[in-house]
Amino acid sequence: MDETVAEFFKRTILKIPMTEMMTILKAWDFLSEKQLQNVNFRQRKESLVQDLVLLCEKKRASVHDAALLDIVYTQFHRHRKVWDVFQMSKGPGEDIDLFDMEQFKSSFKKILQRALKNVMVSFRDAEENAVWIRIAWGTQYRKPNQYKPVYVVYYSQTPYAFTSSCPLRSNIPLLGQALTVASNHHKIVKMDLRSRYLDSLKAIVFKQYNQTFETYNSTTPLQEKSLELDIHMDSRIIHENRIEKERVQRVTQETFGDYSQPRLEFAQYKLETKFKSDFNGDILAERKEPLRCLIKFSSPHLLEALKSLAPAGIADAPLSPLLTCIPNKGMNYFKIKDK
Amino acid sequence: MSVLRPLDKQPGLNTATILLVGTEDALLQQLADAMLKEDCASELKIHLARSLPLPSDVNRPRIDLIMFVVNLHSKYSLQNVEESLRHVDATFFLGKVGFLAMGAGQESHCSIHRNTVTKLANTYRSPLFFCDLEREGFRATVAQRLVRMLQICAGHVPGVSALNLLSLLRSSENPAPEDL
Amino acid sequence: MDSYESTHQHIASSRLKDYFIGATPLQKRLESVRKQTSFVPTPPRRKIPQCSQLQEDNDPQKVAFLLHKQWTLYSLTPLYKFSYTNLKEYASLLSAFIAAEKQKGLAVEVGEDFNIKVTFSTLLGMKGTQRDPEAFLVQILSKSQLPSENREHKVLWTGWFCCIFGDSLLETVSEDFTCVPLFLANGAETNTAIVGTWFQKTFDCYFSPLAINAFNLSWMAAMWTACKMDQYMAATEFLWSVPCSPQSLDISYAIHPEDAKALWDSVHKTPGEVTQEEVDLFMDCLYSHFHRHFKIHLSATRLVRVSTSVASAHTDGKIKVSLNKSSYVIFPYCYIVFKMYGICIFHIEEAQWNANLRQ
Repeated sequence: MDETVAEFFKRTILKIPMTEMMTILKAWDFLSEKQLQNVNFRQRKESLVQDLVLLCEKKRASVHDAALLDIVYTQFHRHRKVWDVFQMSKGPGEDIDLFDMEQFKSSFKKILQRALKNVMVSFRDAEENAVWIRIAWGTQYRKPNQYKPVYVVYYSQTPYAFTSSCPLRSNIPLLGQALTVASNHHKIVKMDLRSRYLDSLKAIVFKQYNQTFETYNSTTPLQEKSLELDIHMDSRIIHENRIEKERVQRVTQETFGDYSQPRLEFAQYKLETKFKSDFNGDILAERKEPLRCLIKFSSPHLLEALKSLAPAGIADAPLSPLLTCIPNKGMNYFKIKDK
Repeated sequence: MSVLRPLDKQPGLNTATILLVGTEDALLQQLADAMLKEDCASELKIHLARSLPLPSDVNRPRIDLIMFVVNLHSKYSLQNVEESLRHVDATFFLGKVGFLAMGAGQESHCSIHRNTVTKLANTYRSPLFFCDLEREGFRATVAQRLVRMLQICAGHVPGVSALNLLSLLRSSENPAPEDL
Repeated sequence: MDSYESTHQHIASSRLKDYFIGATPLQKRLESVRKQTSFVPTPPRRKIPQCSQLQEDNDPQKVAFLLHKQWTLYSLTPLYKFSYTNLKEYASLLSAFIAAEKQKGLAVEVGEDFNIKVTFSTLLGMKGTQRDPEAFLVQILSKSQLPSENREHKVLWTGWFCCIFGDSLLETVSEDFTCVPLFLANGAETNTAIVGTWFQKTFDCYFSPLAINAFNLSWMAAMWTACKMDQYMAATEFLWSVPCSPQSLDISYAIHPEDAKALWDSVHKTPGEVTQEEVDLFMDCLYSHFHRHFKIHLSATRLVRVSTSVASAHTDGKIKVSLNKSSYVIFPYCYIVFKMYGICIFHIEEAQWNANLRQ
C-alpha cells in the first residue's frame, strides 16, 4: 500500500467518532469479525487508527476499499451534507426498458473516465435498490482528489438522483450527462430543492411523505382529545374564539395533513413584486418597479415550524400557498414575480 | 358583531364576569387559571378572546370588566388591541376597562416602547398595569389584583364603585392625561 | 441664643429645601427620574445631526480605525476621579494589572517590560455637544519579540469610551465623576473582563452588557436606510426570530438597498428629522408587504438583527460600521456614528430610568 493510500485510510478512519467505529467498520465489511476482535478499541484514537491502517495494509487494501469505507461513513453522516436533487425525463416515445444495475454502473463510470481520464468512481449498493456513488475528481493531468469527492445516490428505475454539493461546478454537466445516459434517460434538470435530509428529499420527490401517517394516525386523535379537554377543563373559563380556533386547527390539518412533515431546513424566495400598501395609498404609488426582496426561512425543521404558525396566532389560516406548496411542488427555492 | 355595552343585561346572581382580550392564548389561559385559584366570595366567570368583536350568536352573561393584554414583545398584539378597542362602548371606559402590558421585564425583547402603551391607556382613561405573566409568582399577583378589581366592577364590594376605583387609581399611579 | 436658633433653623430649612428641590446629585438624579416618569421619555422625533462638530476636529485615521470592526456594547456608570491628564499613568497601571492577571500569583513591578503594552489616548471630536466629555481609546498591543522588526505593535484588544448627546445623563453627574456611559470593546472577552475589572477597581464604576431591543433596532434600520450612498455594498436585511415551538424559525428579509431607500423616502415626510411615526410606518410597510405574500404577521415576531450598507446591529449588543474608506470620505460618516451611538446612549438613559422605576 503506498503512502497516499495509507494516508487516505488514516484520514477516513480519523473522521469516524469512536462510538460508531465498530458499527461502521462492520458495515464496511472489509475486515473480518475475527480481525476486528483482535483490535483494541479501548486505546487512544491515534493508536487505534494506526492499528487499523496496519491491518488494512496486511490485507492489501486498495484505494477502492478506502473509498468504500468513506461511502459507509457518509451514509451514516448523510445529514452533514447538503443534497441537491436532479430530475431526469425520457424523450417522447421512449419506452421503459429493462434496467440493469451493473450496466448502469459500468456506463456511468465509462462516461466520466472518457472525459476526465483521471477520475475514481466507487459504488456501494444500498437499501431500496439504491446505489451510492462516490466520485473523486481528477483531470487529464492530475490524479483524483480523494478529499473533495461528490456523492450521488440513485434509486434504480426512478428519474431522480441526489447529489452532495459539487466543489467543481464545471463538472456538474458531465455528471448530469453520465447519469442520464447510464439510466437511459433523455434530459436532466436540477430541481429547486435542497436539504440536509436525504430521506426527506426522497419522501418529497417520491411523494411518500403522506404514507408515514399510519404510524402517526394512532396518536393524533388522542392529542386532539386532550386539547379539547384542555379547553373545557373548567366551566368557569369560556373561550370566545373556540370556533375560530377549531377552524384554524382544521385548516392547518387539511393543509399539512396528519403525518409528520418531511424535514427541510430552509426555503428561499426571491420576490420581485410591486409594493401595495394597506394603510396609505400613496406609499410608493408612483413607482413602477417592483420591490426586490430576498426572503429566507430557516429552521431545524421548517415545515413543522410553518405548521405551528397559524395555531400560534402568528399567521393566518390557511397559510400562503407559497409556503404550503413546498412538499407538493418539490421546491424550496422560488422566484416570485407579479403576473 | 356588535359593540360591547356594559349594562345591557341583568347581572347574574353573585356572578362577576371578566373578559380578557389578547393574542397570547396560552398566557391568558394561565392567567385565568390563576384567577380561579384566588379565594373569592363572588362566582367568577372568565371569558377569553383573541380579539373583539365577540361572536354575536352566543348568550353570555353581563361583562363587568374588560382587560386588554398587550405583549410588549409583539407589535401585532398591540395592533390587535387597538383594533378591538373600537368595538367597546364608551360607557365601559367609566372604570370597567383596564390594560395589562406584559414583558417589560425582558427589556431586550421589547418592540413596543412602554410609553406607547402608557399613551394608549391614557387615551382611553383606563388604568394600565405592567406585569410578567410568564412567571407563576408574578402571575398570581396580577390574578389577585384582577379578581379584586373585578369584584369592585361587579358591584360586590360595598362602598366602592368602578368609577370610584378608576379615580383612585388615576391619582395614585398614572398621571392624568392632561399632564402628558 | 435667639440668633443661634434662627441660624440653626435656617440651615435646617435650607437643607430641607435642598432635599425637595433635589440639590445634591443623587437627588437631582431622582428628580430627573421622576420628571421622566411623568413626561414622555421617547423623543418622538430625532434630529438628523448636522455633523459639524465631528468633522472639524476629529482625527480621520483614528476614526477610520473605529469603523470596520465589530464592537460589543456595554453601558458604564460614571467614572469616579477619572482625569484626562493622567492617561499615561493609567496606561502603565493597567498594563501592570494585565501582566499580573495573566501570571496570577507572581508579583509584577509597575512598568516592567512584559510582552504587552497598553495605551490610552483621547478620540478628539467623538462627541455630540461641547458638554459631552471627550471620548478615549484604550488598546492592548503586543510587543514584538524581535527588536529588529521595527517595533511594530500588533493590536490585541481595543476598547473605547464615549458620550454622545449625553445631556440628561450629564445633568445628574457631580464634578468628581466623568460620564462616558457607552463602552465598546473589540477583542478577546478575557481582555474585556480584565480591563473591566481594572476600571471597576480604579474608578468605582460598573459595566453591564447593553442589549439593543427591537424598538431601537428599527430606529437604526430606518435611519441607516435613509442614508443616501453612491454605492451600496449590501442589502438592507432584517432578521426576525419567530417565537414558535417546538421548532424554532428564523426569517431573513433582505431588500435591495435602493428599493428600501425608495420606500423610506416615500414614508419620510419631515425634512431634517426622523419621527417615531415614520419609523413605525416604515416597519408596518415591510410587515404588510410580507404578509401579502406569506400570510405571516412579522409584527408578532422579534427583530433580532438589522444590517445595511452603512452598519449592522444585533440585539445582543454587537454593532459594526461597514462603510469603507472611500465612502466615508464622501459620506459624512460621523452622521452614522452619531446616530448609532446616540441611540445607544439614549438606550442607557432609558434602562436607568426603567431600573429606577423598578426599585
